Amino acid sequence: MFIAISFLSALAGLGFAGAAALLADTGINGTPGAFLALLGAIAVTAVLGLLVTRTAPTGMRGLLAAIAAVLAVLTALAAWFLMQDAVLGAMSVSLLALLVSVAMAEGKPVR
Amino acid sequence: MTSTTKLACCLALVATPTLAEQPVWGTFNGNLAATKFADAATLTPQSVAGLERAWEVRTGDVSDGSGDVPATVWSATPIFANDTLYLGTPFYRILALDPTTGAERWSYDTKSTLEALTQPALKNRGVAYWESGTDGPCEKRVLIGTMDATLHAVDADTGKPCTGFGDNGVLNVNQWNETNAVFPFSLLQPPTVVGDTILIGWSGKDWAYTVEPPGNLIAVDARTGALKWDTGFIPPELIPVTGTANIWSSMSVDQDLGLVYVPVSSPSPNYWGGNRTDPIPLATSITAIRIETGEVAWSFQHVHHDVWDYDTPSAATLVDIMRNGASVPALVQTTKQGFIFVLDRRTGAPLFPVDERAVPASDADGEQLSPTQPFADLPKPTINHTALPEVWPLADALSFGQCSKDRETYRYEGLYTPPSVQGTFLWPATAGGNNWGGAAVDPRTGILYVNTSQVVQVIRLIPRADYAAEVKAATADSSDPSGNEAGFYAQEGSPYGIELFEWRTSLGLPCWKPPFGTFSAYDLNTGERLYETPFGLTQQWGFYGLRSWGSPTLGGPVVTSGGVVLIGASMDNRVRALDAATGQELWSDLVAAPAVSIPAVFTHQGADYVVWAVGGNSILKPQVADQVVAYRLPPKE
Repeated sequence: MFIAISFLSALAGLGFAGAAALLADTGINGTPGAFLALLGAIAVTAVLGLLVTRTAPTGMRGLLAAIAAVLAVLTALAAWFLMQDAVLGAMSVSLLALLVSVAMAEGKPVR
Repeated sequence: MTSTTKLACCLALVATPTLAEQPVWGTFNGNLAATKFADAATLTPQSVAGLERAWEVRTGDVSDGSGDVPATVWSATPIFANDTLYLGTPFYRILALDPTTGAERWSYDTKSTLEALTQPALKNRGVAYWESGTDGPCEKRVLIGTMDATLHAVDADTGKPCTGFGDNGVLNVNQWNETNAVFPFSLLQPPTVVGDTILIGWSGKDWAYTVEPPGNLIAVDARTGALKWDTGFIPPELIPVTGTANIWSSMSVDQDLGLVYVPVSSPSPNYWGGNRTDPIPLATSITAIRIETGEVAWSFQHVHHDVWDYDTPSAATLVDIMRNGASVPALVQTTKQGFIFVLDRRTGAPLFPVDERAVPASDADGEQLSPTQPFADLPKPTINHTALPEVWPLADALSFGQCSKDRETYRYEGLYTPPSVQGTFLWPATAGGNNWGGAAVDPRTGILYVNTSQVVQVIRLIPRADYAAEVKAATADSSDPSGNEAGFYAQEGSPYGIELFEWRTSLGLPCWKPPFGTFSAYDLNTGERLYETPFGLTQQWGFYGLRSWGSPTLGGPVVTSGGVVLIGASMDNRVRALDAATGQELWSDLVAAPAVSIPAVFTHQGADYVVWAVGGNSILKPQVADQVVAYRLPPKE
């Protein structure tokens, strides 16, 4: 469930980042920083999409989770410097949910 | 008791809500004393966080310069008079808006050329207003100047031309541009209206040529446009070899004394003075002129033989202050150099000490600098020019030591280090320090509020023989062969062209340590600085800087009787309300571009309004806009 929350939150962050980059008068629209944040949000969402749809090989899931976490941190950092609180919030929730998901997965007994 | 506590106590005494209202905002600076003080008592530190957008208008008059029309720079202060809000646009149109809703009542198009004849962009700083005191057509008029040197007068109720003014409502101001007329008298700053007299200054381009039109102040009749007098600022014998010392900014007026105080700019060319080694006493000065006759009453030259473009940038602020136990009619001039000159406005005598101090010499061909310049230590300058700001370690590290190398390469021996072939740090930059936005003052307390840019530039003199080749090399990939966009200016007729640029790394980071912009308050009765705090946020590639860095600013503040400062001005597209007692931010709102304008603050139908024209300026960043935004407090339940 938490990986789904992580994905949905990243998806919301992607929407917010897209709006900030593309809509008028957001304070950052059309800037390289806005597109960097948008790119970061796309990447996070894509990687989490692989995890949530279970399309990634099992052996790769840990690596992909780590990549998603790093990307989420970088995107959140960019959002902080861009003063995009919605993107920052969404990426923070996504990261938190991802970490909980990983922690719970590690806690499960191996069958 | 700290300075800030003292100020807080002082303001608490005067910030008690009263029934006071600001019925008009009738001039560029709010009033002829240029105090930028609004008797808007509901706007207090306690209430201002509740400011809401009342309405927003887009004028459509905007260009980013990518097409056929040059980029726009819009710094208009809206005028509130005749129960109407009047705005000039950078396409030289007048808009008359309903102050409650923003609905357009009428518009007037001057049909001015949309070519940047004298400036790098289409600029407008608004309109002026005149009324006779009687009823009838054209007894109330709105005036707008154009890039191509015409002044238009239209009826304030209908927007129809006042046919008795000039030629069917259009006065050709360029008819008085008779000498060295290498460019037209661009009317970008609204004229100053005193009684039935319109006082007209103009803009040129004093970085382009050595011999240019000599600066003057033109007085015309408000009803007919007939010339009343014309006062020049260049000695007649020097007119064949130099020019400008014009008035491109706003003015202030003491009607009781019958004086207009004009900010006179530097002679041409801006950065080399070998053609004008004889004194030009009225250049780069604050000069008091008798409104009736045009006679110079007194003048205070604050830069001798200016080769830094430290021209007087703003209207002096007129306020009575206490000195030695007596109230003195004072004039306060903020400057690009960061000095705050406080003068007796009757005589021009300094009210705080001003010393002539030795300054560095020039090694440029033919140059003969003044050996001394005026320094004022009190009030404390808004710029610390006792030393160049330190190299910013962050920028230095990211540029692999470029900033440190630059520090060794370019010349700096203190304020007034002259331009050189080697390259000279300009600290403060040619845009100041303090620029045309000027300062606000609360006349009840004598406390002055001012925003300051803390920016370092580099200027390099380029020998004439090398200039064309350098420009060609620098503009090989550019659509601007003049090199102006890259910072090259010809100074035709002099032995040197120049290159002028901000001291930055190749990644665009400033090489000097922050802050890059500050906001300060001064007690003019004592000269004490009450506080100085970083103001605004920088922005690069969309990313905002830290609060402690502040931002360079363009545009000025307004202070209210309720104890709030209202200001746009910073790079980050925000308009703000500050606590006048501390300078701390109380409220902000995101707008479409940097609000490089002075807001209009007025009371209409019992509500206090704050209106900004939001237009941007490429000095801060390339973003432009055509937005007018009005704010007010929500009605009480």
